[in-house]
Amino acid sequence: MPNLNNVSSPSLWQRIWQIFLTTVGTKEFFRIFSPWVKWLAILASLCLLIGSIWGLAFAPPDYLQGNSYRIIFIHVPAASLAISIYFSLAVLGVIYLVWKIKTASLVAQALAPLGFLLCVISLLTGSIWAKPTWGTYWVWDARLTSMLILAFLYAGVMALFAAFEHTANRGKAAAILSIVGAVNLPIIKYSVQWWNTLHQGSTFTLTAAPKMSADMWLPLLLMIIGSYLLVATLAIYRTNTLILHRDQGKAWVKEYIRGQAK
Amino acid sequence: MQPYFYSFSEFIAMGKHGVFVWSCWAITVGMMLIFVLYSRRQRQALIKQLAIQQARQAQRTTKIPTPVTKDTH
Repeated sequence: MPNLNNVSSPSLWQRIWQIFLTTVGTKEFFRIFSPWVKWLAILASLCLLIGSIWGLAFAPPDYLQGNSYRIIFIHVPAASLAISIYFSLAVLGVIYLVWKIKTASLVAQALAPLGFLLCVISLLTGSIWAKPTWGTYWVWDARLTSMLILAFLYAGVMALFAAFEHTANRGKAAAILSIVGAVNLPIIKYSVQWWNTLHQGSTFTLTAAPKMSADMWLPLLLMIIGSYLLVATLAIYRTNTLILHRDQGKAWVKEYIRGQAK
Repeated sequence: MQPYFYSFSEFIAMGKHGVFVWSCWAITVGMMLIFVLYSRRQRQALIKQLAIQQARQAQRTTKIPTPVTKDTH
């Protein structure tokens, strides 16, 4: 229990909290995560390369859909990341609004275009897959429509980040839209159960055994892991660019730039 | 492990589904590659811009005593 009578000396928890706040500063983020980029990129490329070759050439075809199901190896990782990144935007938004941690806002700003891109990729690959499977490129189905709304939410968040470039409020409006827009996420997730849709339910969850054979779900798992690693790589790299831009007047950035120019 | 396809042309055709599968791969790889290169270009442009700014500032600070020497000449 913290000693409430002794106001002048901070409690242990307050001290730990202060130490934590100094470690999530922009300078520390840059210093800690910069060396990770190279290794994460190598690991991500390996996973994606092996997963792609395995999925395209070695996995057996689906007994109903034939070879068109091979699109799953891009479609599912892209869609799953588009949703996860939006969720992380909402969490980062809360962190930024409640604890005023600037790094959280910068990470969100770095991630938003990537989430938008993956959302577009999942929509495009989904509609290409729909042609041989459902006979049409697009239906106004609950899953597809809620995913399209996610793309618009991403576009809104990106626009808000771009709109307040030179004010202290930068990131606040984007954080609020990220949090409000997160209402859409459970709608996407449960759309295949709540409504009668063309889109199939998930074949892949963390809690249950996969409903497909191992030489189908193993490459899919590799592609999902590789995609998460790629997103982590890009998130760190892009956040560090934003940090350099934001802290350009500070001594440590000037020193870093001098080191790069040599 | 054995590849599923017997020949390379079979692998490309994928039993009538080649167009769909390969176009998905092309779109995804292309878009991701452009995004990675764009992020890299952004970083390099910023570093270049900041380096030029710093060089200019360094020049300005070292040039301050020069007018004094010019007057004496």
